[in-house]
Amino acid sequence: MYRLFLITIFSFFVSSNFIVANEDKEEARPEVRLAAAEKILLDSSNISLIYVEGLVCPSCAIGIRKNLSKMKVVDNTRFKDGIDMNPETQLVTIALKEGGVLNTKDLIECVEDAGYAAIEEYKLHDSHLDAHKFNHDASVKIVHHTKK
Amino acid sequence: MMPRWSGGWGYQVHYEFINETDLLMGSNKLYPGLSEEINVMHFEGVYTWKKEIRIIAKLPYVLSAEREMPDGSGGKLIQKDSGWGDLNLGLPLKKYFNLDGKSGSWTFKPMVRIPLSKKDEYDFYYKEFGVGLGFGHEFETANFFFGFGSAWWIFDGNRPAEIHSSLDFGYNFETKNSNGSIFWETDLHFEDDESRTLGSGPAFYFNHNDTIHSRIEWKHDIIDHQGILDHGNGNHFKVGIGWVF
Repeated sequence: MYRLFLITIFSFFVSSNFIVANEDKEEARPEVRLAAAEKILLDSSNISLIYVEGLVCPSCAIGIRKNLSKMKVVDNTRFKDGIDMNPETQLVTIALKEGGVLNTKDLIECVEDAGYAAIEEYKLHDSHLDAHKFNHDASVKIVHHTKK
Repeated sequence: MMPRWSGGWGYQVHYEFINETDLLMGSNKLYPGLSEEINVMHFEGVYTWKKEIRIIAKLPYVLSAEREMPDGSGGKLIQKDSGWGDLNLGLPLKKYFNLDGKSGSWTFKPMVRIPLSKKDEYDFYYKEFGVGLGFGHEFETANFFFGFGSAWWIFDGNRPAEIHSSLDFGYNFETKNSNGSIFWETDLHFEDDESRTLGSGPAFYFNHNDTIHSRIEWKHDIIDHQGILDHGNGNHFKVGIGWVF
């Protein structure tokens, strides 16, 4: 039994080497999310950026990637199967093929089917970070978040 | 890990080692040093039909179980067991909630336990039909996890009714390409013959990729009170790997 105890302690010691990447982790806050959204949109092209409420656990949210990566407009060669999920900001970045446009209804369904809620999509428009809020009927309401 | 998405399914295999060091009556070591040692493989499968409804099946296989009992003349008698345990089927019904920075669920779970073999002199598993009802609540943030649950069981034969409760805290971490959690888990097991056991210990979960997950845990019985002459003061060690699709 003593040997098992030592194995368990050793396993935890080994696992602690993986934890280093966690040091700067922050709980999700709206201002953190919006700043992150703006940076992602400035740095990337051909993407769709979605705020998924409740996306705090990457293991539980695997279904989001599985569902979204099946969409025809998703470029599966970028990120991980075309999808990047950030549990601190709850942002999902979807890599799109050249000229690809996501169907809002399909997007909402894919996320809901995975057990989460797609709240809004972020876009840079002129000097604003716009949030396109999803309604139940898949229509969107545009909200201007920031002015540069 | 249970797939949260509709149409998700998975299976896992884990090995469990249990060592109970004393034969107890109440909290007293009536026969200290008469031990019980069990090696079990657990085979588990899950299918998530819709995110609110899933079915789970658990089937244990006892690789070897051995216990020492008093022979009535000052010596000890060794009894052994091996083979399939009881099939456990559950139908968890989930209600998920998503908030800004937090996600969780409420669970209601009807269960049945089906014996797959006949009783003999020593059985590690109950080998009696049983029905159970469980409920649970859990939530997590990007950093922390909290969960509790309880399940009640009644059986068709002589086995007393049981309540199992658990309280788990966890810390979530990320690696460059994946993530995992470190938990502190506490289990309370109560039987209607006044047996009660409180076990507690750490667990480590790691998500190797979107498909493969593994887990290792160890628990020690902090409080062990047996309503009938039975083994106690145990250590439980589990290590397992699972796949989800």
